[in-house]
Amino acid sequence: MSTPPPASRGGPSPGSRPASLPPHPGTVKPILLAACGNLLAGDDAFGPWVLRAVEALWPPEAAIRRDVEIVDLSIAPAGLLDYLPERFGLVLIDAVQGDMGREALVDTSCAEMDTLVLESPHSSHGMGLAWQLRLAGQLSLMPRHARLIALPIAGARVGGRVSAGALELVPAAARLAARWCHAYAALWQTRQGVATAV
Amino acid sequence: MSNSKSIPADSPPLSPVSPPPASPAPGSPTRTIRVEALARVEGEGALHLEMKDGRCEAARLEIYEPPRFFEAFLRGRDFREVPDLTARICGICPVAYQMGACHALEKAIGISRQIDPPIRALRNVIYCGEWIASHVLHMFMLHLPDYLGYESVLTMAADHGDVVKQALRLKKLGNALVALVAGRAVHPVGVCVGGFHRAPDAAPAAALGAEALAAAEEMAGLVEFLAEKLTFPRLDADYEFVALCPNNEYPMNLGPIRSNKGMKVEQEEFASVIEERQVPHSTALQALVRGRGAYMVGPLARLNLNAQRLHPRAGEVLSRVCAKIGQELPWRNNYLSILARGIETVHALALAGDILSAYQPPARSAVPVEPREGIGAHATEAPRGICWHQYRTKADGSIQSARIIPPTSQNQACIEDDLRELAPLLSALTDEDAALRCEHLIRNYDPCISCSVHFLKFSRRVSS
Repeated sequence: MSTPPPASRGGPSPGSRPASLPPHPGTVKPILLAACGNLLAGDDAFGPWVLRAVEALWPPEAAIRRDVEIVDLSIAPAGLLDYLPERFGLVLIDAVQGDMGREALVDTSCAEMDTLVLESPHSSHGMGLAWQLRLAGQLSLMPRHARLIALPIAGARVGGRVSAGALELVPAAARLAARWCHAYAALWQTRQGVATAV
Repeated sequence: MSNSKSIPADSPPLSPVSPPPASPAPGSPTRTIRVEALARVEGEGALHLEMKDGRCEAARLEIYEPPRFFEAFLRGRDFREVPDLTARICGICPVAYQMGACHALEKAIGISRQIDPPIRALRNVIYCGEWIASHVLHMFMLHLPDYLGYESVLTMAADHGDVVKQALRLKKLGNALVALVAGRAVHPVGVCVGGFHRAPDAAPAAALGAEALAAAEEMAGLVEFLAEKLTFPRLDADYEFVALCPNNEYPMNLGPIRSNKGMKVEQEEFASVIEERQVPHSTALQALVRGRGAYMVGPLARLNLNAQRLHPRAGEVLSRVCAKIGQELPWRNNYLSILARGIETVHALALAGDILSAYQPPARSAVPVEPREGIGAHATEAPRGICWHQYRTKADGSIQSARIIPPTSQNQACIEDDLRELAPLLSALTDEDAALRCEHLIRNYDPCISCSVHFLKFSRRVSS
């Protein structure tokens, strides 16, 4: 667990990046914000709900959108690997099972992801998120920076609604995800600036 | 069951690298082999095998994933909402559920003959994309480790990273084809009853078409490589293969339903020649051919019944693969399904490439639709086999009833038959080895358990 990056370190706030900046080289946006979860399975829908909240935080013209691709993997976690190559940063949102301590929300680095996600049956279909992250690491496809924001849940029942407790945490998780995206985008911009200067 | 099969006792081991011996089970008169959670399949299921004196007493593919009641909550919805809802049935094959729904509903509202050829061509492209992504995922990430003796794709990638990377590129291309036609790869949003909300632009279509043609060559090489290098356990089973059999193309969206044992029905009649039954150990219904029993749908069935309709490039690959493994069609060994998937992937890449290379945006992307009372049934070929839909619509366009028969529920009985045949050959193996063999056999079918979970309507007779 770690503290979320302070807003001041989060790079430009939404909409503050000059629109005249050139697009990034290549066609891949440097940051991937992805969520996984079944909208029809109670609290397992946490990830997609958070994505919606992030979308609401960022107006369509927000400059951060030029740096961040938002992907709802829904019940197709096996698609994550398609989106990883050439990324600089990854922010992943999911529901997880297991003993996560007393934290209401898990905010963890890439290094801890395997143990967290591998335990989750919601990520176990075919090739779950943890498998893909490990595979991406082995094949050198893993982004330089990666973060998992997760809601520990007791279980998911198909047909169940998202619980009030989970919904309460959606705005906080969305702000956290947005901050990490801004932080990674700022780092990316710095690297690009250095590269251009050189 | 009509299946009679023989798996020679000298079948090669599935894995050249055997796991260490587990519990002392070989030789004991009564054994139970259980795998609580099957790995490398889509969804959640278990395996239960009971043997006594070398005979199989019980073989069960236990599907415990809870039912999701899609057919129930489609009732009362507007018919135009159905493709977006059925896409949520499966994360791997949403297109199959969208295409089945669209075709069946177009029959119900009476516009199925009005669908323009360019729309039909785009439906083939999006289906090609799904086949490519699904087949490559299963072949290289889930199934190939069985043949090479690896625990998973992770350990396999340590030795064969380049092959895995190549496969990932192909899978991504399949998803890109889906996104081109329908907006996004995960639960596509561009599909509608009557066609598509919009047609792709010419330039990205041409670019992706060229990429698909190049990838077809890459895939052809991979399939031939697998045919040459892999060792396939022997199996000769008298399966009933069931697939769509159109006159002029390899099956995907259209065609009557045929089998190698005389089934010959139009799409609307399919439900009258099969029966669905509920078994206590599964939340998925099991489908059987009436009066005969288990049957197989999927790549092996399609290939055996439709090989002459493959894209010419895939036909060439098939000939070379047959020569390399020394076996002409029909293939009655489901361990060869990995090759059938590979050949179908070449077909899908070449077909999508051809269509997109000549593509011009059509005058309209969808046929206008109006609500009407009616009934329509249609099957398309999902990556795992026939996916049959039937809808009854009311005059206001709302859904009165819906019925969906997914491929894995059709293959379930066949999987259990295969397990019964395999069981006697497991007596000399440790529990761990035996379980591995059973899991490999199940993975031959690429079961999509999430898709298949259904529940019977419960009715109770009340006597007063």
